Amino acid sequence: MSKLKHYFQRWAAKRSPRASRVVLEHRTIYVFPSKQGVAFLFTVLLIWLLGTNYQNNLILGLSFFLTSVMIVSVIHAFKNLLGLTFTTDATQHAVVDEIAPFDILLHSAYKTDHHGLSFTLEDVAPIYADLKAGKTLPISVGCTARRRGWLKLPRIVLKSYFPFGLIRAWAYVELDHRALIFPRAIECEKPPLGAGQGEDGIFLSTQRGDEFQGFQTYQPGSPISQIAWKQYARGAGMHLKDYRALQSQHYWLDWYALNVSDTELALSNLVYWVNNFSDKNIEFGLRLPSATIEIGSGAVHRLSALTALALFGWAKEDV
Amino acid sequence: MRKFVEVLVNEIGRVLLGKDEKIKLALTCLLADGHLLIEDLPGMGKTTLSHALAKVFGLTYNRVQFTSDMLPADILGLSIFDPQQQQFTFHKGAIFTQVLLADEINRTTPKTQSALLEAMEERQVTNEGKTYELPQPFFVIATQNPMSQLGTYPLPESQLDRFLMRISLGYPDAETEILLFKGGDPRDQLAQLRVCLTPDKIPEIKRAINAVKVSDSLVDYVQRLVHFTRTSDDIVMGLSPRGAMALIKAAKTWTFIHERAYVVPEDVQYLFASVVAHRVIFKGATQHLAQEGQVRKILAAVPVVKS
Amino acid sequence: MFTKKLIPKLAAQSQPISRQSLAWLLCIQVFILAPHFVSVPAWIAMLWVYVAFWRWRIFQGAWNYPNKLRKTLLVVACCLGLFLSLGKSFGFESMVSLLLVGFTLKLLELKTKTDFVLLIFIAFFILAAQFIEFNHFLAAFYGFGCLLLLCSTLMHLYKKSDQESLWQGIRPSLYILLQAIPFMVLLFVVVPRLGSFWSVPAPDHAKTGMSDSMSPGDFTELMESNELAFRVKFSSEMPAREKLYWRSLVFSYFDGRRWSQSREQKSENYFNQANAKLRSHIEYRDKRVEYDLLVEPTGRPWIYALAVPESWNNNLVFIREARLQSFAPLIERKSFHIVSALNYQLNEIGPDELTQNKLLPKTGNPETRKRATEWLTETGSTEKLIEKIFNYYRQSFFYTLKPPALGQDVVDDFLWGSRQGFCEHFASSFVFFLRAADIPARVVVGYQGGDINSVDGSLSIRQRDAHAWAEVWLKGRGWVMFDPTAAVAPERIQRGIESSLSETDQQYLARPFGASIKMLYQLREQWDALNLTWTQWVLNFDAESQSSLLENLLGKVSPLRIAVLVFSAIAGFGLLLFIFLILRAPKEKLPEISLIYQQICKKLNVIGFSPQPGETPRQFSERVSNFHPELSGALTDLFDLYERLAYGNDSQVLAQLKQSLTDFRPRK
Repeated sequence: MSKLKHYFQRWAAKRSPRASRVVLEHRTIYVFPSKQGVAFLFTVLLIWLLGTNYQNNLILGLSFFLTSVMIVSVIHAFKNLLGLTFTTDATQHAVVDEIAPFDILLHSAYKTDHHGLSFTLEDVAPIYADLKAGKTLPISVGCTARRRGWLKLPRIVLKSYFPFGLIRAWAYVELDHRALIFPRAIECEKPPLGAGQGEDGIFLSTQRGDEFQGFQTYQPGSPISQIAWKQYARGAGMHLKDYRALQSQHYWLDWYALNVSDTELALSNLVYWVNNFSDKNIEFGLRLPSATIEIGSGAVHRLSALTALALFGWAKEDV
Repeated sequence: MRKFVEVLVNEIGRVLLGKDEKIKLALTCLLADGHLLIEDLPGMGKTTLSHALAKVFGLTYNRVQFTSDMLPADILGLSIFDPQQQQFTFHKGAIFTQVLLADEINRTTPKTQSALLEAMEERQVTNEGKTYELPQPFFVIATQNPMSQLGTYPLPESQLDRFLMRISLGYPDAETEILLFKGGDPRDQLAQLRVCLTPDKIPEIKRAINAVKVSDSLVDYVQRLVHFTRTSDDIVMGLSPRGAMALIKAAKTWTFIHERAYVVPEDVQYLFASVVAHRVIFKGATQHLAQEGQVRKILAAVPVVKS
Repeated sequence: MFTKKLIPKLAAQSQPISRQSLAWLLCIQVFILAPHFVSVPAWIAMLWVYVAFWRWRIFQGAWNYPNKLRKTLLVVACCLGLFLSLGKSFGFESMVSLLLVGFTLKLLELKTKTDFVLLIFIAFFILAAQFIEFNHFLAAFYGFGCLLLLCSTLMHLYKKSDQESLWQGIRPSLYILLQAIPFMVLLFVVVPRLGSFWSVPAPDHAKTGMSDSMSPGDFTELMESNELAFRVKFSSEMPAREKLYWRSLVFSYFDGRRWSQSREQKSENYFNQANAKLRSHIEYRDKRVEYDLLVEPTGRPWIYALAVPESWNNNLVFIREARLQSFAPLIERKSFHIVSALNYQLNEIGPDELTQNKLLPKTGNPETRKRATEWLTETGSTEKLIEKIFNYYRQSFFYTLKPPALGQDVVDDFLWGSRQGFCEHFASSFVFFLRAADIPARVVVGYQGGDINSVDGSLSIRQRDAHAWAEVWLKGRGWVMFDPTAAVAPERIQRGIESSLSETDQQYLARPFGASIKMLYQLREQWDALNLTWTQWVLNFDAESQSSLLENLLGKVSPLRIAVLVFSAIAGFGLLLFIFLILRAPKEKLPEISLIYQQICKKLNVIGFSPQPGETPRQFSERVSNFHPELSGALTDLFDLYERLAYGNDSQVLAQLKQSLTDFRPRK
């Protein structure tokens, strides 16, 4: 049985090749009675027996009617998936062992509603959606990220039991889509700082900056914007507000400063410090054997550092 | 009415030789109510351009050289205690002008940068609970020196989209340069510039710009471009809706300047790099030129007509 | 930014039920249960209200699902209730009641979608069961309505729908049901009809109409009823009204008060298949009439036919005294096709039959017995004796529906005393009189006449048309029909019972609803006609009509031909549906402007040019012009127009553009 299933899935995979835009056509949609459909047929059989035993044409008619409804709902179940168009949306990222989101745009090639669609990705709970005619619906399917680097979107199983739950219509959607998976952050005591970088690298410049330090007595010629007017108004005399620039404090996170026996652990430690520095708004750079990220700060900087860590050891052609 | 563009471009062209296209871009920016960021080496004519713009429109002009010891108050203005009247009076800063050249904006601290950018966005200054409107029109030309990295504070990515466009003037070509050498001191020439348009004409121009047609096909094209920036793997952060609207606004103004009634895809394509390149974050491409290359890639990938 | 929680995998079927779905279900239960409350104990309705309220409170979170103890108590209480109200016998009502109670109590176990679906499937079955008692075409409409609601409820489960109106909820199901109708008709016509597999408890119909005996006063009740007994549709010309004697039962045995079938009549001997040999005592002559009989359920097997039936459906048995009977009691409306010969001679089956029909109780009615012998000697022949009796009736009798009560000697009191009565008195006294004169005679009961429906020309025979008459055996002529009532009140026979009664008597007679208002009367006639058609075409479509219909369609019925018919018809309908639903479904079209551009590109593709992805129309045209300067003029025109249409929103150039496009024919 499982062998049969395996063959079917290989056959189905051949019929729906990977692409960044997938339109469901009649060749890629499968329909089969659901469990409830079988139970329904059993109910119909009971009704038919009742009708035959009582020689009652109305009851027989009802049983035929229900059978016909099942026949017609095959077409409707099929139609419910036909023309559904999947387009890849923005590439997202996640951390190992979390659920990686894949943004997909759902649209219909027909001007019809599509009901009760469920999207399943491997082990994650299905997502349910209804698509209204002429609308584009953004959905985000998730898949557990097992290792760092690029994660290809696995096959999506699209299912619907519309209209009456008697027929299961399904399709396999192979979208050329991926998500970037960062290594999991693992705390370590000291940041792996490159040579010449000490923790005591913080000092105040003598230049004017924007950090308020205190007051100095007024000296003629000082800019008026520096005068503490409020103090002057209170009669405290002329004083200057003294600003010092906090000399920008920055570190180099260095691969070679790590005792690399376990690559993944080393990467995880680096991720921890990248996040740590970014959260504290400390400028940092990253030196890896394969790449160097210059000193910087901000969300994009963090992202490029994490990307470099995620793709550490990935061949160019895999990217 | 529209002939004025030619007049304006010619007039400014007298002091800024061989840069007609850049002058048009700057004009577009001004008429579209946006601000301009020029990324260039010193001596390329940034000051001349901004000063000339102010001149031909008959606008007030201020130039502020940003330094690292500048405080927000230096730009916005500050309250000074007057011992005679026993009260504070507000002394307006350099920002209270119609055209402001913020030279080397990346030399000052983020705090001062933010003060300027905020005032640019809101077109007003708040001090001690009082709000002071900035003059109309209000146009900021900020410059950044891409070369000197040390001791600078590059504008944060998230604030770059306060600028409608980012351009660079670049070196003049050989012919122009010779002309340049032959000519006199640009400062003298600046003084000779005529006012070609009075500021009271500006509302009329804005109405005309609003009347420029943008068809569904064009909006659709813009939308596809925008969507592409959001889905491309080479781009970390795609174009925001604000960016898309800026693109359309700029395209309308550009069309108006070129005396046409409706926007065509070429307009969008021409402006795309200037309007979009500084708003999206490319993976790996931090330099201006590399970014423009990426932008051209986007234009080459998105079909103009929906099919 | 970097934290997302793993969502536990939920089984799709164990989702809770939405408020709307529950509301739909409760509403549909009311519709499904309602018709059954006619026959099941009323407390089941109360039970439903209680349980439904409980379930709603559970939904609101106010109450809990019942625990095991409560559930058991509830089930035991219901069983006890069923036992007390229905008794030990397991009849039809008990079956239905049990089903309904189960259907109701299941509500308290309704937790998941699977339970919900199960409830709906039970509802389908209960819906089917209601047709056992109600098979009027209105019931069919009601059933369709219920089915529609059930399907809509079911569909509700498989939509992730937000707020929608009632009509939006029903419409998709309605379309699907309507699309299913052709398939249903096909299956109805083609699927073979089988006989009952096992005997089933039938609903307890109160037996209406004629009973199997006749004693004075029995007919009064019938005549007060306006209920339909049966309907007739003649396929040949309809005989005159006074000829319409619908013969049903023959009574040979008289116990002094009551006429009934004799033991011999009831015995096995009489039930035989329609074998020509068994009909050797009948001589069919001419005046054949052919008709369809649609009999209302009576709970009795007998059938009403004009004397004497010559051929009939094979679901009837012939009984040798020339009457027809169905195999089983009629528990639902049925139709039969019969051919009768109005001119016939019905001879005696054997000498026993004649002896039997001369028997009288040993005592009673002495006056009549005495007169009978006197009159026979007086007249000399049977015919003349009958003539004399008829004259006697004609002269001094009065036809009334409310005769005075009769004493011990019924016949004596009537003939020589009150002289007031109606058909049963006349028939009874007439036959008694003849038997007393040693002439074989018997009472025949049935109906006489009927109302003609002007819409479809069918004849409706109601209970008030019940009648009794006599058959007398005459030498050489066999059993001959005589109707003494006709002698007293000929209008009764010619124009119907209403015209034969006095004003005061008419008030006892049941009158059809709206008989006095013409329009209502016509409406009623149409209603009846509709009902008749329904019965004829739907309710009575049985194995026989099926095979004859299929024979008409296919020529010869063979399993292969039926299979071919079924498959081709299903495939045909399926294809039609497929075409209408899928191929002709409105597609999301590209804007016209894109289509035009595609056409332009197609033409330029002929000379080997196609646009690059990022190339604007103008850039494309310029590129082509560079290689084909001869096209440059045409291209500029074409693309100018295109640009004006696409980007200038100048819709006026559309026609011009199309024209230029047709004229534009680049060649290699």
